[in-house]
Amino acid sequence: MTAPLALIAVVVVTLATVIVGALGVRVARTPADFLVAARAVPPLRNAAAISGEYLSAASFLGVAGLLLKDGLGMLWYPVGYAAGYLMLLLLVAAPLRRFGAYTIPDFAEGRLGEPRLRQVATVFVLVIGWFYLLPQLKGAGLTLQVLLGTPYWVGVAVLTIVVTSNIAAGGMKGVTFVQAVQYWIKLVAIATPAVVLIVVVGGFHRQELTKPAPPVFPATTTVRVQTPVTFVVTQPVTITAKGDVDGQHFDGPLTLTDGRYQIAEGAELVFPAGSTTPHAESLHALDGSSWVSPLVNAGHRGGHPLAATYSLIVATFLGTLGLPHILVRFYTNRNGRAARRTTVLVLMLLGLFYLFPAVFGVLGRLRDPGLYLTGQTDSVVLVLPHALINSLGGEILGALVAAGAFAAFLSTSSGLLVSVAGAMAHDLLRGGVRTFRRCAVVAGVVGLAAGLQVARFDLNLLVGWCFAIAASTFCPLLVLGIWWRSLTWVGAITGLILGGVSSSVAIILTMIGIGTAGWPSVLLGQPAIWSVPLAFLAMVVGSRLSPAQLPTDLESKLLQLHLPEALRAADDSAAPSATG
Amino acid sequence: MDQPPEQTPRVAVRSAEVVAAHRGNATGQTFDEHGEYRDVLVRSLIRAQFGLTLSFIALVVGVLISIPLVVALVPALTGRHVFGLPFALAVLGVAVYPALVVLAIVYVRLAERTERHFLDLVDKL
Repeated sequence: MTAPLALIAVVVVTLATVIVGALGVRVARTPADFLVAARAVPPLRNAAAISGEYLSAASFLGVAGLLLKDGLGMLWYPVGYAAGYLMLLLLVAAPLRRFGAYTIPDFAEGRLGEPRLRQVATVFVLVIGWFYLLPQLKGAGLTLQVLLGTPYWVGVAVLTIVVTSNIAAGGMKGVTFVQAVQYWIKLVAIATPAVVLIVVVGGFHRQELTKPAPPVFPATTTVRVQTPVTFVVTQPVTITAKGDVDGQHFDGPLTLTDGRYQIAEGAELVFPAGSTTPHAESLHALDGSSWVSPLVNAGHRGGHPLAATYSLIVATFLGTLGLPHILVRFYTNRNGRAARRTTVLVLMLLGLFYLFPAVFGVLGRLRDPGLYLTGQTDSVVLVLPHALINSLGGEILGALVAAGAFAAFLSTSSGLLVSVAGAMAHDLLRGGVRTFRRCAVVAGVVGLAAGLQVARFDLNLLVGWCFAIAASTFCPLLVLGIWWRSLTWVGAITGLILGGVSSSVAIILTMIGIGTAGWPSVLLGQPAIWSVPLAFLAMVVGSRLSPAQLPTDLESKLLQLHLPEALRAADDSAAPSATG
Repeated sequence: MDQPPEQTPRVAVRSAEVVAAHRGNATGQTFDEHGEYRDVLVRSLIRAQFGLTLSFIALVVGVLISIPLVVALVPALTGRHVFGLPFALAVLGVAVYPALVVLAIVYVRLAERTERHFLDLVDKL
């Protein structure tokens, strides 16, 4: 499928981002620059910028795709993404802003007074930033594949080149403004088609979703296969095939009996109305009652839905407050009180956005189940408008979601790349603007190489893993650093390394295919349930064993974290010292 | 509320600034001069704020985390409909978001009230 309108929309959003970013007033790269911005950033725009940076490929495309694939239990992902901001508000927002730390490594060294802790924290900023970049690149690869029929690597390369060269050339100057605008683009781009689809397609009968059978094609449906796929047929069906099936070329009627079929790229299969949808071999076919379960991975054989649900809750609720590229934005708040208000606004903006992806997941299952066959469930937001509204209107809506998707990739990956390149240049190499630019290129190349390898992973799986690592490293560092006076740098380093390495290893084992069923799949695939408590425990034990390492000026650090604005000197809240 | 109501966040930020400028020298200095009292007061502020945070976490944990448990114990809930939507969609797709926002707003009010109490204590020094 080539969609000229969608291509135009993607190009317009990309160009607008580059141009508006370049027209900004100043390069917001150093703490001082962010401070200049801070004086001019009102809470709503700041909240929109945070939400704009936060709503990535995983939220825009991935949530609906995962719902379609694994059922309503996957709603825990967006719930956790939003609830993470409540946790951030309760535990971190005001004290972190009052402390005046610009980045997490700044906070670590400033609070506990140990340069080596800063280095370790920087390493995990890089790990989390790069890992978070992968789903954005996958989203871009998938989007161009779906819209233009290009190979996966084209989208990955295009996004990397645009974002990297833009940042290395000193673009993204008006970054706050660009990201704030991108939130509203994303909201409009997902809400409009969702509402129109509900109006045009109508609702659904309440029994439709819960009935036991796997989904059926509601009308005669043509499925175009863009990447080779093996699918499983459970109900015999006679289709019209055009293309290669099991290595043989067909152009006419073909009866599929129970079993597996290999379909080559470019094939077109026409299924009659009312026939049961075959599903890609890589998917679990869920019946209606498993699909509507509010537990994660309900209906998967050998799964432990309750444990998987709780582990996901731990990762997402606690992961947000450890995301380096998000916490940097809190520095642009005027003071601690403004940080709290901004967080509440972010929660409202995210809550509004997350009402809509589910519409695509539900309508996709009922009205366009062909995606179960191709396995490209992550593309449901992109293809559904045009699939259900076969007119110019559908094409316009399709162009709108494509624009929103690219706004998501651009804003999140720009923020991530700035954060990764900044950590490399500022914290590891201690260089200036030129180093920053070189680091941006290096960071982009590394991201590109890794992004090409992750086509087969769900967007939200990748992002969920990222949250698990953040929750196992920076969450305990920040929570204990803010609320526990006995934390020492020894304990902090122990916890960072233990939590970060163990969760990363578990995730890498899952990625290379170890532990795919039963408890190993839960404990390795969703490690937060044990790695987060482990990191907290390690920090507490490590600190208890090293009481001599308590910072000497502990009381003034605590004062800095918790003293309300009214008791600070007038310039204190505007220009706090990061590393003291 | 024992303080004059604040109409918009913007006003609140400004008023905090005015207060800060007003108190800057006078209270700021006296507060620093009371070294020991200051540390005790700040400890009590941290304890009060942390208690507030913990009680809100307990609330969130109590409500949200009990949903999977209740569903695991009463599987029939899964097939129920709330306002025409499947249970999971009604609760996790819609109802949870306003609930989170309300919790956040209430927390901010209580946290700021705690800080005002602390400031009152400091003023009495």
